[in-house]
Amino acid sequence: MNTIGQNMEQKKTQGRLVCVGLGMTLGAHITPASLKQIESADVVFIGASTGIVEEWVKSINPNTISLQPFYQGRNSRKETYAQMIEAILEQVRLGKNVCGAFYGHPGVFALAPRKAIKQAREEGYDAYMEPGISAEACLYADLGLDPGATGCQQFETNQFMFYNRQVDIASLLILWQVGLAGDKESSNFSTTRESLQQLVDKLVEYYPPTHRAIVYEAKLLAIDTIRQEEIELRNLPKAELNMNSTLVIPAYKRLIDLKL
Amino acid sequence: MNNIVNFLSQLGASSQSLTQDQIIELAGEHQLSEQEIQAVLERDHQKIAELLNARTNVCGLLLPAEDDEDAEDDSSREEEIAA
Repeated sequence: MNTIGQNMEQKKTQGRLVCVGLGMTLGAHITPASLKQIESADVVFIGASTGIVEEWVKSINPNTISLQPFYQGRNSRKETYAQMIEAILEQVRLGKNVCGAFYGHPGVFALAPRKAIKQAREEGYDAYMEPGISAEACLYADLGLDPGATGCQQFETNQFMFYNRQVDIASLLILWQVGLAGDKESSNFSTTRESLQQLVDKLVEYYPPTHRAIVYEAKLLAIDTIRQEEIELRNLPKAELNMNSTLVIPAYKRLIDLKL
Repeated sequence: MNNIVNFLSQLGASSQSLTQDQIIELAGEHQLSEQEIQAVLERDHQKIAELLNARTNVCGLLLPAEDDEDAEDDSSREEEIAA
């Protein structure tokens, strides 16, 4: 066998990991590069937003394993993600061409893909990420907001609530996963009125209670409509929120020109 | 590929905003059953998943990196103050 052939043979048996993004809306957002990775993988691990998306990926590559069963125990999500990473790497160590397919962008607010890639590289395997269209990208398109206009701050809601984060009220503020507000231990799948009131109490340190925010949800299927519901901050505890709800808070003050 | 998955995938890829009549026509072209068409028109994810025999209880969550060992190892950053 010549050198090129030997190298190819070596790579084939070495195992590799590519984490790809599926985008938010089934069929609408996946890139040709990500699709190719799913089609050509020996095994695909999928972290999707709906069971319908899981079936779509299975139709592209029947050797697809759902990561959902890992959520079913009573572990904290940190433990859950550690188990997911181990399951993915186990297949890489067996010499397989492994694809991790995750909804949205696999590197945005996504611990498992990033850590799996890091660990695979540390163990000497070829591992990288293909970007996807994230909820953030959809938000800018659907709500007609440009983060460049005022600047943009964004936090996972619980990080915002439980750590000392400073808000710039002249910029756009996005709070992800507001439907899990108050889940400090990362072990619940919903929020409570009390937790949302706690979040409002923190926000009204910066904004008037009547400041209007937007509850946003991206389309998961092409037949869906986006959720774009205006709400006064003080009414947030009464809002119906889901796991995929995002709170978007427009700038409250104009930019101040520092004429030095 | 299952008809309804194929239908949703093609609808997503086409980036079209269809009227109800157009959706019914397209669904017919994909040989969707009456039940499937009804579930599509009602935007009923749960029903579509059931018809596909797909998982109906799905968890899609974000986890920020505040507990990441990368941050813990980075001594150049001051410790975040818990509120």
